Amino acid sequence: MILLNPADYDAIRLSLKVAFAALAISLPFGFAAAYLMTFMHFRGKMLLEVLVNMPLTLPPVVIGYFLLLLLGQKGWLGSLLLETAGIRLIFTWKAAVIASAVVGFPLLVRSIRIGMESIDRQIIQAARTLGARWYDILFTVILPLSLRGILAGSSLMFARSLGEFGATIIVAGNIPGVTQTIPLAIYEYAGSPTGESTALYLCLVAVFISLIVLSLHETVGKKLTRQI
Amino acid sequence: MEIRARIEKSFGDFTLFADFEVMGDRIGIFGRSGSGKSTLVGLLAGLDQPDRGEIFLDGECVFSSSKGINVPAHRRRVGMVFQQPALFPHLSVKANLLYGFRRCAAPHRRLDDLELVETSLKLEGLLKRGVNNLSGGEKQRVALGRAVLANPRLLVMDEPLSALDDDLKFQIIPYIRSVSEEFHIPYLFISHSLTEMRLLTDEVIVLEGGQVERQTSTEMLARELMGTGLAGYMNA
Repeated sequence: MILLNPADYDAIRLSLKVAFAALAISLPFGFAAAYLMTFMHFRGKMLLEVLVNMPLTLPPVVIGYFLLLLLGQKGWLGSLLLETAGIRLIFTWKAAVIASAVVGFPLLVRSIRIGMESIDRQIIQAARTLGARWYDILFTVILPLSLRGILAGSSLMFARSLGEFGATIIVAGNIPGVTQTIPLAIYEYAGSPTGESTALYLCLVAVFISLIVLSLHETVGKKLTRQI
Repeated sequence: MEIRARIEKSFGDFTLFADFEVMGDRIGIFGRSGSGKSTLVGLLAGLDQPDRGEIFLDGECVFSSSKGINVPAHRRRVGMVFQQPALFPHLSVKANLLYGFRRCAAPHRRLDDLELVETSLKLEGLLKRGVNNLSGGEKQRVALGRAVLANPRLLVMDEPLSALDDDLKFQIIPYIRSVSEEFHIPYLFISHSLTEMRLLTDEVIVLEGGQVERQTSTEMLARELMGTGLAGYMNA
């Protein structure tokens, strides 16, 4: 029988915590970015699209290194946070959250945007002629009709966060019980002569979590499809 | 209702230039596909902005490029019924009907209006249903009721019958008439069908190639088109 040690359970808990936190902080910004890119015409829209999608095309290690430069003790944001609020991000679980949020953000935005683009523009026009202002339309028409896209994006981002490795190891390190997530733990066990079975067990845990996420996505997605 | 417009709008190679003044409660905008009918009504309703010109509804300036006036669609009180019903798919029939009512209803309007719309448009049995389970005719009746309940000063119907088969068209036409008679809401009815024009309008603006070709009574237009043998073509 394979037994996991307490640090492995910590890695599982931390992976879930990081994925949920990354999703929670990204959702409002992802929704706003998708809304701007779908419904608004403004100067610099192309630049916004490039910036949002850039993490998809960059190696995660590169993203991690840029985050290290930004959030490190000598980085402008890192030093600012440390001096003004005494907050240190690098090599904490919060850095893992930021890394996951940055890497998964384009997946979230793209899915929400696909959902928004599928909304019939005449429905929005109808709402305008029925007396609704833009923020009213946002909450009563666009948000409910984008729920499937939000769900799809959330599932993708959550899954991506669970698997995030490259950026996380750079900004959060691989400290058991503190910043070690499932992929980082697997990496450590895979390099150890006695860790092969534990690595496999953690892989199975990752597969199990992914199955739950996908099942939830399918179930809720079908329910939403029936409603809309 | 008096509508005065002198507006210009260009899209690529197409330019709409509409210059007309019309008065009446049952006005038609008639023209072939691509003549600029939908563009014109979008500009009147505030869904799009003219490049230049002025629009007056009952003497109130709702758009003027020279004076920098552009009353937004949500305050213009021009109701729209589109070719496709454009109902909110996530809401029930009742919630669709109440959407504009809750936002636009004037103080003197009461829930009696809702009941009147329900009975006039025969929607009583549909209120709790989702809109995706309705037939094409039922959806268009809900769209009509929803627009009426938003208390518009003008109701614009942009080819609301063209997606329906002939049987359904003739079922909906009496409902459109009742809107004008029971709720005293003037309407602008857009179509390329002379039959629909004759049944629903008294005065008509004919658009051709993005310009107002003429303005006449519907009966006069019908007699002219029948004389030239174009009536069948325009019914297509």
